[in-house]
Amino acid sequence: MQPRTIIFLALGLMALVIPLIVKSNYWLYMLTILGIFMILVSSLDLLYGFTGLASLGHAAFFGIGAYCTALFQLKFGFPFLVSLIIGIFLTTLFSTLIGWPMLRIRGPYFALGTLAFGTIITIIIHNWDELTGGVSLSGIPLLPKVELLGLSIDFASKRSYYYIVIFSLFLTILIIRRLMDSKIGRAFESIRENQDLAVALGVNSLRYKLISFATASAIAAGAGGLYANYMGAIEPEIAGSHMSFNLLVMIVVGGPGTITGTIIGPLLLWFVPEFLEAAQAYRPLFFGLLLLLVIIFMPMGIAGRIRAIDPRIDRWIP
Amino acid sequence: MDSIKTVKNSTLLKADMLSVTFGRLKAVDNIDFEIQAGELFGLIGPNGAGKTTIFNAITNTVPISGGSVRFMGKFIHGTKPHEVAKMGVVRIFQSATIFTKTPVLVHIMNGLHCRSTTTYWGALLRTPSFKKEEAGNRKRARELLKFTNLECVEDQPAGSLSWAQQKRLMLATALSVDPKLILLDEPIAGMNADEIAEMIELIKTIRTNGITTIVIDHNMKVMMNICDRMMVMNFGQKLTEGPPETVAQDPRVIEAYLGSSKNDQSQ
Repeated sequence: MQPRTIIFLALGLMALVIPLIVKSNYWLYMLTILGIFMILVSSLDLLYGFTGLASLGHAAFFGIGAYCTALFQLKFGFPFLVSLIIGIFLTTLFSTLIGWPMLRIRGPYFALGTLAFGTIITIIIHNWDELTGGVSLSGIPLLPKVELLGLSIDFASKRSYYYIVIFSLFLTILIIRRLMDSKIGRAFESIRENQDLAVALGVNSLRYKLISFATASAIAAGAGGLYANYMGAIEPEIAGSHMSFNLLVMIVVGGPGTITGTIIGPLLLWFVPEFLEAAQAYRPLFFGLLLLLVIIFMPMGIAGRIRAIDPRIDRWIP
Repeated sequence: MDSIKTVKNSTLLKADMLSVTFGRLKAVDNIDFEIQAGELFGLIGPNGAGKTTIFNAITNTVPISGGSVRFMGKFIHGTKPHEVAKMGVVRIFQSATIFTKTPVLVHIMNGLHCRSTTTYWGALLRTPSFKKEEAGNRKRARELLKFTNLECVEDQPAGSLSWAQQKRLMLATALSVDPKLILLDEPIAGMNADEIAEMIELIKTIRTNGITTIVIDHNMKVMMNICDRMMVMNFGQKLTEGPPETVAQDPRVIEAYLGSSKNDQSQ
């Protein structure tokens, strides 16, 4: 077993035992949201860190997934899991339709295009009151109690939801790792490294960018669905450019293309500021300063910087 | 060796009145040439003669403004650039264009992309056919690693290799596509004598294995030595074409390379 896998499994084990130690509902709540953020950031990392596509509209897919999941429960009374799957499916379909024209453009134009797309989605959610509830959509049902083999599992409880999120996070990382360790992931990386050379070697760049884009959107939609049911209420801002921008900053600061980076990013830029209640007003300043420092001193992000210290350390950083 | 002889004398690539223009500049001006299967064909000429543009036209990465290029009887334009590679035409770029962060072995595996049949779900579910193909790909990549003498740097990122190693890595990556025609743009530029000798050995072996090769280079001595036939270009036009000995004697070639001899005579 590789050292990186050992660390990864150790972290996973730690995540599993945390609720046995942490009894406070507040802390479990915080950790659950952190987990949802990690899923979301991992999905953007597939796009940015591995495929080299800097999307400034990734939160839009998180939002679409959240709203779809919520609305199918509220309007049609579908169960959570069915709504979640429909939400993921519709978002994937939508992202493919959007990606088809958008992924032909390169570099800054792609970033600007996705930024505009995210803004459009937020405005649509905001103004389509009858469907989306406008400024806020509330009353999303909690998960039911399930009797299974004589065991009663209350999915509405903070602890079981925490485990659902951790399981989803693990699944996300597994999907991304398996894709990356295949012809498909190699095509992603070759496009990131040098698209012209990738094409010269027979990689259909548009096709593989679309695969990366659709996969990332599907995962983001899943995170959105989890978020909607956990919070019980959602606002259009979760799909907005501010959110998208924060996600990208989390990856750049954490370290693109690493699992560690997707942990450090949300931890440093969401968890810590959220915890330091007093620092709320200074959060943008904190974001800006940190981003500036990282870009100048650690172009590969914090995880990348740690890896670069020594090849022996590199082997242990997942 | 018999099999190579049988594939010879069949046209692999054929350009008819090929022209490529950039604005008013005729980068390639009405050129005809034919390349036989198994041949090692040289493309020489001063800088800006249009040699690389011919490679761009063959791989369909630049729009053709006139004429046509046919590979195994099939028109190249109209196919997408990534499909050209799948047809069996691979190029190596002039500067060492590589995936700098990619480890060497994985770099070579990138070339196996269009010969792999792995599906999205196959990769996610790790099906037996996926595992088998990946093992096969790894094995093939290792063979090419050995062939290009890069075994000692297997895990290093491609960008950390020396210039000559990077060129050999690109050759290995191109070979992993399993090409019928390989286009080498200045494969020995910027190398020392030993590195040049190593690269020439590789190019010769590739030809012996039946892969047709077109080489662009400025090193006349090497080109004369390795090429079966060569074409000389100047200002987008074909000056002459033929075996190296004939080409070297051609007064137009000498003029293009050494400047006008007419002026000398008139003085």
